[in-house]
Amino acid sequence: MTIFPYVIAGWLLLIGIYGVVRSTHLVHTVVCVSIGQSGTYVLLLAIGYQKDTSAPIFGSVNPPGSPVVDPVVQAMALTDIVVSATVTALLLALVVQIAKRHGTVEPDQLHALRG
Amino acid sequence: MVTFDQALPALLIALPVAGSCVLLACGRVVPRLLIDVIGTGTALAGTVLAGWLLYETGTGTVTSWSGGWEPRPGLTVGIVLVADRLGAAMALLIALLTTTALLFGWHYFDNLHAHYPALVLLFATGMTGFALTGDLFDMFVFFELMGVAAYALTGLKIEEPESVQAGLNFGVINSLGAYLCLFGIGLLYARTGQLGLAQLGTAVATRAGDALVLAAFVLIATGWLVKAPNPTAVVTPVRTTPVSAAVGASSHHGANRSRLPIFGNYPASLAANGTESARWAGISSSLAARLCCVP
Repeated sequence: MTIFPYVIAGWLLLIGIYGVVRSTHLVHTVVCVSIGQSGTYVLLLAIGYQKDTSAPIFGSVNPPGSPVVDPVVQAMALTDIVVSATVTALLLALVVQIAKRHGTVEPDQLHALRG
Repeated sequence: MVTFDQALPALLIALPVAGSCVLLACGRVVPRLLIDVIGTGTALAGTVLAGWLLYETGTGTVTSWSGGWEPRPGLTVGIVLVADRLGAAMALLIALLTTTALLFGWHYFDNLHAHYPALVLLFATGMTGFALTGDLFDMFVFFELMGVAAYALTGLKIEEPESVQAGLNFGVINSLGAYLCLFGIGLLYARTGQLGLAQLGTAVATRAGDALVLAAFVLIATGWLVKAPNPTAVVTPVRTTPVSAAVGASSHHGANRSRLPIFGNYPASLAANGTESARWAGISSSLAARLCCVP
């Protein structure tokens, strides 16, 4: 086991959050959310990875029972990607509406809500 | 052979999805009254089923393996729904709140499109799945389904600047919280090789001082804390849609449920240093978030 992919996963999540915090454009914010989520893909795939094994698809080359990488985390990563596509699409649609209603896509210029 | 009471948890999830599909498919052509009747009727049917499920759980936990993929020795691939009394009671509460929110919508909206009841039903699906799943990863998936419907409901009045801004804030912050949770879930799976809540509880009970397990729980708890109290997002929809009470209730329930099954088995030593306070922080903050919804 090498620690490298786990460091990458954590770094992607942190850089995504940093990007959201420092963002000056809403599309950039949404992309940074996606980058943060990419960290979870790397983490999930790193967890299931095994050296010198193949993809979890059994056939004539790869008879059932031969060593493969963990299919559970692959299914999780796939589900995660679908979730990400949904969230990104919805957030971008909201950004389009914000651009129409507020006339700006700069987070600091949005004055409708005061926290 | 699957008996009817075993099919109940799956039906509770499938029914609102079917209802919202029907609404979206024919929402443009049917009159307003029919939209209201389909939406509220589906929610009412869900309430009856949830009540029945609660009655069935009186004699024991109802477990349902989707597609009959029951676990065999050395092979566990099925997706499980587990309805204990707490989960079934929550499903009933969710169904009741959904029915009330839809009834409220009858006179609240002057020109209602089918989006509103369809989104509320999808939101209810996410919440019900969250209450009934027996698997940590499916909790994340149902949470995201609930989240996406909630972002759309928050930004439902797209002509209002507050509404769209609140929707985006809610979406970004909630998603980041969900990814922290998913990191924690991934780490727990890496350490224990389990995702089922019951199996995870047993696996974690023997790993008292494990730093990785602790880190995973810190990530999950932080994720829920980021998600549960989000005043800008929770307060704003009070003025825009009548679902805020349900949003508050669901996040409160989510904060508790994620902890109950696993933390119940977790050694007291760990609970004493941090986890217990995190749990109370979660409960009190989500209660505060819910109180914000009352006016």
